[in-house]
Amino acid sequence: MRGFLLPLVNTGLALLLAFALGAVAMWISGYDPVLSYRSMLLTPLSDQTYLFSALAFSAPILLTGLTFAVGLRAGLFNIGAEGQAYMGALGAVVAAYLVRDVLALPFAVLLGLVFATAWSAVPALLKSWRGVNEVVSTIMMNWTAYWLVIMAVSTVFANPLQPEESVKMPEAARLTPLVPGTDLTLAVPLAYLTAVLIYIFLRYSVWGYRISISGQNPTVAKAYGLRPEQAVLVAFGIGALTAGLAGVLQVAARPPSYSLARNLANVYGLGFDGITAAMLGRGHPIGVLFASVFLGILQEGARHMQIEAGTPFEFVKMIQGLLILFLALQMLRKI
Amino acid sequence: MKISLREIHKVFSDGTHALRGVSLDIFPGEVLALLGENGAGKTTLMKILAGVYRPTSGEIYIDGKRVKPKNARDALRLGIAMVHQHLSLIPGLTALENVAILEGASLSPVSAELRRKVEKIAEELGFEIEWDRDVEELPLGVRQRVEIVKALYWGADLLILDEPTTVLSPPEVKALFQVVRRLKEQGKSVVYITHKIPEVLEIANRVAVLRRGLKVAEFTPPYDAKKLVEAMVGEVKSESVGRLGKPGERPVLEVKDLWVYEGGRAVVQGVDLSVREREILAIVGVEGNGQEHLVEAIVGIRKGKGVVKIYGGYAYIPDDRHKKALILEMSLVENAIIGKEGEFAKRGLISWRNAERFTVKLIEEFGIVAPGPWALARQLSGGNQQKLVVGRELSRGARLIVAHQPTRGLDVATTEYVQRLLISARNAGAGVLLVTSDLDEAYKLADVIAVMYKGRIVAYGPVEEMGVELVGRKMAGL
Amino acid sequence: MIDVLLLLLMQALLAAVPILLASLGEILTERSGVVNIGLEGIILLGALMGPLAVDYLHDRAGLHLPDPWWPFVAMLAAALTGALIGLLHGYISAYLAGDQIISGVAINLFAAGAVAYGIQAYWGVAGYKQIPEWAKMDPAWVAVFAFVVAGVMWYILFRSRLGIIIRSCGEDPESAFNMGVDVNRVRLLVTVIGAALAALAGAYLSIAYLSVVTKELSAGRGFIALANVVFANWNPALAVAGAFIFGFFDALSYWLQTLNLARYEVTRMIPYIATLLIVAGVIGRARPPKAVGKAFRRE
Repeated sequence: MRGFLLPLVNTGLALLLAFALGAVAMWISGYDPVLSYRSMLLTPLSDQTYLFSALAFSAPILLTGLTFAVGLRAGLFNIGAEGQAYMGALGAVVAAYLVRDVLALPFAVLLGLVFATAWSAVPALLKSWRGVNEVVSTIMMNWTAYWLVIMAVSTVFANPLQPEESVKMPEAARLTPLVPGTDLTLAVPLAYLTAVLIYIFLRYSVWGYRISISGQNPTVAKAYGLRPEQAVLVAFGIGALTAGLAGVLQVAARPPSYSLARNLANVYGLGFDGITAAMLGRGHPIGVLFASVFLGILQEGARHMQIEAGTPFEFVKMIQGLLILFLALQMLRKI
Repeated sequence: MKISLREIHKVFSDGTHALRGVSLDIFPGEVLALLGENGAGKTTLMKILAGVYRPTSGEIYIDGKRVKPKNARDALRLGIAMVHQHLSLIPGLTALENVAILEGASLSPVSAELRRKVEKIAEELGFEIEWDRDVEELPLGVRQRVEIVKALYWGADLLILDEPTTVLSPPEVKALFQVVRRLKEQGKSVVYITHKIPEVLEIANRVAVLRRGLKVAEFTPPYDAKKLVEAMVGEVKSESVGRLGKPGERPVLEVKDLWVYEGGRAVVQGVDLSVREREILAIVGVEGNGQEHLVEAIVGIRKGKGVVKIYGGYAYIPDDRHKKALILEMSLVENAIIGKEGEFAKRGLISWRNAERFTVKLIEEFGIVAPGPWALARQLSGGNQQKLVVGRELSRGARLIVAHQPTRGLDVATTEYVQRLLISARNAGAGVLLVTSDLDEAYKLADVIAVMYKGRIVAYGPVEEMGVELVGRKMAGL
Repeated sequence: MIDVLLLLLMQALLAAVPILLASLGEILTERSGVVNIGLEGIILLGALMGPLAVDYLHDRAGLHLPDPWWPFVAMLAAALTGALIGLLHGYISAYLAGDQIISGVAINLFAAGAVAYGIQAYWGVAGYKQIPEWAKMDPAWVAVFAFVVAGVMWYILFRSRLGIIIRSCGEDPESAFNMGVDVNRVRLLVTVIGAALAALAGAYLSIAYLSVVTKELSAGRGFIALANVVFANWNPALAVAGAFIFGFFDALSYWLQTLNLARYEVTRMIPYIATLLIVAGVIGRARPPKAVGKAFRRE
């Protein structure tokens, strides 16, 4: 891990500045920064239930963060994780609708990954074949997915007993909490394992190498037969798998509802949180893991902050934005 | 206007000590040739005079007064203009807009007066220029003329021409010499940067020779070509390895009716060529006649129409190692296995230890100076980077080697080394496609010479039958 | 039939205005070599700060102005907000040679959070806030303004000497610098203006077009504007046509919804799919400024 210290210091500096500016914003709006930060950062760590809840938040963020990180390696700005997560969740809902026993779980994973990959195929092929800028195309796909999934969940796949939700995951197929009374399910270790696998992939596999070379210099890749167009497709594909998994887990492993909300509340924003985690983690899978835990703590803490200090929880989003801004200031070269 | 450069030093941010204390005088109304090999410092010295670079130390005086030009516009105000080798006109703007940009920002359009004056200057020099065309669409020779007109419009008394003939055909070169003579008659000074001695003999009032960042000699006519070469090169050249054995029968590369297009134009037009085992085919021609597109189509960077058949794999030494051969931000190990990563992988996973061992072998075998195999490619000097590229490519064991300007920008020793390696590879049975604008190199290495002009092969034959005079004519399209 | 068509065209025009404004701002910015992906966020911030500023001045600060002035004050506040963000992004992109895409993404993330937080913190309501009558602006003003800006920008970029300077920064900043152009300063100024225009687009959305502030008001329009820049081949005149096409699809989707010809969600998808198809079709024929998105560093 060459040059480990400098990025760490830089990240720390960005965090400090973001929190400082956030404190100013809070103070101007009439909220108490000290109390707010205390409840946001410390309360989640004070109790096992809260901590597990934070980890449960971190799992899908880690997965969508990996989407963005793998894309960065390939020289892409793949911000399609948001829409792909929606499609993954949709896949799980469809599976829950069709299969009412334990087989719903593997089926959900299958459908979710397939849907997400198919969704990513559009911007991937557009980029690979016609060089269409992936930022615009993935955003368009995200918004299209948004309306598509809302439509599906409001009509065919609505839960007849609770129409603000989709059909629930059948009980036998749910990933229930490992520690009763908390939110910690298998989703968390699964997500962490995925991060490790992605790390191994990027560092040691042949395609991981090809992705790195293509991302740094597609001309060199083309000259020596590394086929950068294929590397782009592989990067999009892997990103879709992790994002799709995030969506599936939000349906199959999220107590107490185990379903998809009609307004997509339990998947909305996952993509962008993932981007934040990826940038905080500087594009390295293990870094993204730690970053996602941090963001999970922030998200859990936001609830407590609203209760204990009265500061609206949207504030956390603003802190994230400030954080990215400061990280952007430091990046004189791409990650 | 008399210009004096005193004790100019220039150290670049990557540590290269390009100029080590050069002092030079330039007198009004003279043509001063600045002679030297690639990398001697001629361009750097003149770029400092023209405001593009700032000297690390040293002074510039004009008529006894100290000046410090901060950019080209400053230098132009002082009367100094430079026509760069890689022309610095701004694409996307028309020729006229490129001249007018120095007028500064304003909401009013380009004045009719400027247009009239510019057209007059062009006419006086015998130039035909379409002033309202995007300079991207103009041929390199015309672009050079636009730069000259621009310099004169803005009142240059000293015109610095940097290797102006690399983009010109022989008749255009003749025309350029006439322009230079006319400028001298008008009382302007011209500094003519080149590494080609025949041009020096033709046009220079005085010659200053640079070598490795120092001025080593000055000459006045009559010139002794041998003494000029000695001053340029320094030590006597060692005996080069000769070609052994005749070319084989089997082809390693076959190209039939290849067409390559860019932006609607056909840059390569119906090229046929073939390279056999144990043969070096050198394609010569002025840069910009389609050679780059030809090479890129053969190795697969570009799409072309027609047939390209490669037998037995290929190795590729590109003309721009930073953009096409190496990833500067990655380690030598990661760079060394580009294109052969599969060989180091078992069940889809790369063994970095094996890759490291391979890299260390390359470093030793090719005498690459590097802090270690895990150093980043950008930490190496240009010559060592090229050695890494050549070493990597030659160790592929491919039957075809595509070498595009393999020794450009390298110092004498490395140039010799690379040329020897190519001949050895050829002697061992490989076929080499050498694309170069260096005629000396071509004649030294080639079994077969082909001339490329405006996208077509206009001459093709064994080296014994392709004399310099014939080749020169064909390079000009005659 | 004709008046129905005219009505649709009229609505297309009104829908096109924000996209046009944001596109024009970005054309100017990208012509100088800076890419501002943060348009979406700037639109959001403009949409918020316009009404918020006049609310503060009108209600809490008790400033007295003749009634018709308030919408213009809102526009001014929005423009200043945009200019501030543009200053930040321009400084990062030009002087600090930072990664322009990341900076833009950061602006979007920040804006999403700040606007949601701002609506809650200032008005105490979650979700959306209606714009009071006195703060509303007649969309016609802004439409005319947008067209005027398009014409002026075309002239500046392609006929004036200022345009030569701006374009040189985007095509070949090294050579431009050698010609005495202060590339970084040009890029910074132009980014500020571009962001201000985008913020005006946002204010238009809240005080002239939709009469409400929500945290999702921009709905991807910033990215549609980016797509329009490519479609227009970085030419303000073509940007008008492009914005109109996108506006047409926007208006069409509301029409289909009102006439109950298609489900609500399907109609909402139309503009995004249309944008995607248009961008996919146009790529390859467009010629971007050569140095767009790349930082400029002096040796």
